[in-house]
Amino acid sequence: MPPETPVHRKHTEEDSQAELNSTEVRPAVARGLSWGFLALLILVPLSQFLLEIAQGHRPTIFRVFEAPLAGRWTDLADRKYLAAYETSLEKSSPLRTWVQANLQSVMTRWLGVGNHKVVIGQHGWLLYQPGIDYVAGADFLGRGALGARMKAMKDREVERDPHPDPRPALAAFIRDLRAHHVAVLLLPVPDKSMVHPEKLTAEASRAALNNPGYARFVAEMEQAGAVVFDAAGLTRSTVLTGRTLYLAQDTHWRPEWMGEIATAIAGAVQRHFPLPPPTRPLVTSVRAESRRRLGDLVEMLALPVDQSLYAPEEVVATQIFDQSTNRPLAADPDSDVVLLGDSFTNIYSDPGLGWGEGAGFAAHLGRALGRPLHVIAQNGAASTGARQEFLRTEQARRLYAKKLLIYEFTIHDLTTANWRPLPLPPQQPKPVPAQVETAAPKQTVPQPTPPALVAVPLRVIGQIELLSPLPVPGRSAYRDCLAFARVKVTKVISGEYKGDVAIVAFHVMKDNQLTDSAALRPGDTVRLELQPLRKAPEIYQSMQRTDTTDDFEHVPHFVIHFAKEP
Amino acid sequence: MVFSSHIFLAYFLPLVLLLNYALPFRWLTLMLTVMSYIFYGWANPPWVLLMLITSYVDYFCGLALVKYSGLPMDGPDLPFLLKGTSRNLGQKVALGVSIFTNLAILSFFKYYDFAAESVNAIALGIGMPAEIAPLLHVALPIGVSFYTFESMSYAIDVYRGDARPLRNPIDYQCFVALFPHLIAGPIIRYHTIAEQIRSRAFNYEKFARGTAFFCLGMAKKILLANPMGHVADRAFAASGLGPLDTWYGLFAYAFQIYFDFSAYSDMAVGLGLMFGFCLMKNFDDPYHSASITELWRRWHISLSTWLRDYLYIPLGGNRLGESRTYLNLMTVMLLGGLWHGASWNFVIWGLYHGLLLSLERRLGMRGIFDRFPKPIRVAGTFLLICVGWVFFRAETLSQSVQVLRSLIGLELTSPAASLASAGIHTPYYLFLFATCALIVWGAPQTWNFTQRLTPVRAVLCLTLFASSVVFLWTQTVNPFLYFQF
Repeated sequence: MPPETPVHRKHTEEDSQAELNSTEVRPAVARGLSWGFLALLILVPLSQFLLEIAQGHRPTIFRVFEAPLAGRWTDLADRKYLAAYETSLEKSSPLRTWVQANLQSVMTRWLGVGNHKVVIGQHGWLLYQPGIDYVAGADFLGRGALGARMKAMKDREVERDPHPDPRPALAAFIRDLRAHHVAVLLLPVPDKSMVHPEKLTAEASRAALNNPGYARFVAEMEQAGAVVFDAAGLTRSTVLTGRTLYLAQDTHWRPEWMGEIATAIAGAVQRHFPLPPPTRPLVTSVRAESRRRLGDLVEMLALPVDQSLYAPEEVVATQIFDQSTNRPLAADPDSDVVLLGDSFTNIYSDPGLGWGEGAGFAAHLGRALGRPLHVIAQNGAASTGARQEFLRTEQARRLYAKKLLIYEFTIHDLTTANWRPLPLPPQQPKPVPAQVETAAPKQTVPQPTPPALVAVPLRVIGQIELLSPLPVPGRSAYRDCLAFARVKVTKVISGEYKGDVAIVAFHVMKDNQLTDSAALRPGDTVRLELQPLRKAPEIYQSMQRTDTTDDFEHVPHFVIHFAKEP
Repeated sequence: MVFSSHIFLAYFLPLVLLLNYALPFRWLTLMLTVMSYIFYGWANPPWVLLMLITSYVDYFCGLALVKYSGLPMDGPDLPFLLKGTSRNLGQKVALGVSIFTNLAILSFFKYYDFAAESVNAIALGIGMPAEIAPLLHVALPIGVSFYTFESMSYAIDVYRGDARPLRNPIDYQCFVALFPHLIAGPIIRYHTIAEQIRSRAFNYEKFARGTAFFCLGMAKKILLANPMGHVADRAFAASGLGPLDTWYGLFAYAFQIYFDFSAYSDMAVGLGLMFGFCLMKNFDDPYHSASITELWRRWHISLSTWLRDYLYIPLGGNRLGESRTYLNLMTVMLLGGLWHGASWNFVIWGLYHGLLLSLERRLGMRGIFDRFPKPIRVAGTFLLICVGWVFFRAETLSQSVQVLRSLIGLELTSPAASLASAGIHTPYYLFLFATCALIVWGAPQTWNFTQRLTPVRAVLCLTLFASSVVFLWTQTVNPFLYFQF
């Protein structure tokens, strides 16, 4: 037997004190190290402070005093106020911004390293990390995965009411719609890493890739009454023929593949829920248009503005024109087919996304189905935002005239998004069986109640009762965001407003910077200039939103201008 | 607030340093207390109230312990209680109130939901209604496990006569809230820091050593722990990884937790020195351990010391026979596991270590691999530690089992595994992985490295600090792992 090994002696508090009080260092080195460290510490705030003063701006550091100076001392005990201040300090640091962009450039170019959102693939391809996490991850319906997502959502505190499991919300939504004789087709759009795994690694399997929980998800949705379109299978089998179906530097699909998916969906619709002929025959023409820009994944890398690592990517998109108007095919809120979606629906139709207009998924699907569609698509918000918008009273009253709802969402939303159950509004529309079974003549479709707004400009004074959570700049999917608020209207200054509650939407994040409206708090009295949200510029219709008002009764209004009242 | 956050580095720390060196000494305790509350409350201001409640309960319990002793309370300092004498009922009640309050706070915030879930699961199993105990989804106040233990140690130390109770509540609040060690330790016992609150020296030697500690801690966190966390997160979240990838992910986690936690301790010690305090060493080359017994003398030393002095020894330690010793070891390690978190995984992790410790004690305080040369003993012990980390890191028991099966090739490899694998097998992560291994087994630890500060070492520290800040800006918010405990 070998001799017993002496066991390491445990370090004690007294040992620590003795060791820390016996540093060997020359006075000059100690001074140099100490002052060097202090210089590094203050370099960042000092450079920012001086630059802001030189530019005539109020230094960001003083923003923390804004609330107490305005008499809102309680804001200092509000973690959201403090977090927003901290974010503003980080984002407004010019040194940090410059270093971050240039270091990312070096890391991407020489080390092949992306960031928490972007994975550097092969041959200039970029992939989306949450998408890869979905595909390669464990069963997303497993107890552990759901628990971890719940914890992450709570930690982020962006969602007031987190629901990581998509099934309860979707199943209830499908059943509600089925009860109104509306058929449902789900279209989970595959992630790029499922379609082109070979762009990440040459060792990628040729088999169709998906999360282990997906089959169970599909089965449960079908049990609830939906048809789930297998875009993943179709896409993977097509890509094995050598075609490129997704953009190299963007999360989205290429326009020609989007068009093919639209055609395939139309085929599936004809098979599963044959639609009556449209009330108005749709005659369309097409026009090919070339578009060129950097993809959203390049933007997510936050490289320097003059980066040369990635060149703009060019696509040819097919615009769909309605020959009766000779304009791009527009959405029709009275259509019997409604499409809920996200940026995959908007990518070639939302000017805010930069890939042009008139060539989006809805237009192609409308053309394939022979009718324009009622479209509600919000970037990054298919999981809850699009349903919320659909369930607002003005939309929901059209519900009984619908025959089919096509619900497009990005497949990785199943593991990243908040799926809040949203029951249908309490006022159920009167059933009109004949209209449900046959084409709904346009003139018989009861119109939604006229909006409360009957005159412009509408200016009111009110007190904010509830504010949706703020997005976190740099960590949201998109650079812009609307935040909803419930306002108790105390005075109508001009225009006409019936009722004493308004649901209003602030442009709360613009180009990844929180706007002044982010400083508003419940209890604030504000003077607002409003217009109905649906009449606001198109860019706001598809913008990412945070909305926890759960109010489907009032017509939401867009805040054109606001000012705080003393 | 996090040490590695922009606001702490660029604003909070310079401000507190400025105040510390500009104000007269008599104001420093108050200043540090106030700034520590700001530091703590930044993430969630109402949590400061909870800490105040804990502090004041223990503070008044300390006063009560003296009052009921009958000793005079009129001098400048309150007296020590006499050691070795029995305590009266009033004193026992005072100690009981302190322990009960701290444990009640800890239990409610940390363990209520876990207990409710377990009760509900049992109820469901025996056919009762599924939710007899409602889940409250209570948010866990950051660092509550640390400061309740520290605060409790005050009352116990005073009760035992090891420490003099404090008359000034601000001094006491400063001990509990002192921001360098507040959120993730080292767990400071009152009697070791009491004198330093009243009197401490400031000099360039101390400040420079503190700076070196802080710089190296920051580099460990940003340059090593966070990238290893990326690898570990991907590996643990992946489905159907092959054995090699799973081992890679597990080792990456072992590096992450060591560099993350020891980084925090280094930064805490460094900050302490900058403000004149000497905090205790919390890590002593733990992955050099040749046995699990040795590991617990090197890993999270402040916790194992606390558990030994306030739990193991009062339970009887090894004085009550062999089987009672094993029982005490298992109890202490089980509670040590639960201290880390409320889940069955932590219970199993604690029992696993308790079992290994008992086994080694049975073998005569020798490691399981004691017959082998030292490198094999160290490697074998590291593997045992890593198997324990599976339970520590996994979200659920079933995930732990899945990972363990993957480690020995019993899990089917998923076609999508190549995606997860590709994301963590980049030259960047492999290089950092190798660097971690090199530092763990080949480089001097922070305490030794900073003991002699040459100009080259000073420049290296500053360079690493500057690099860490720069890399920090490309990373998302990534709080220290031990914040969740």
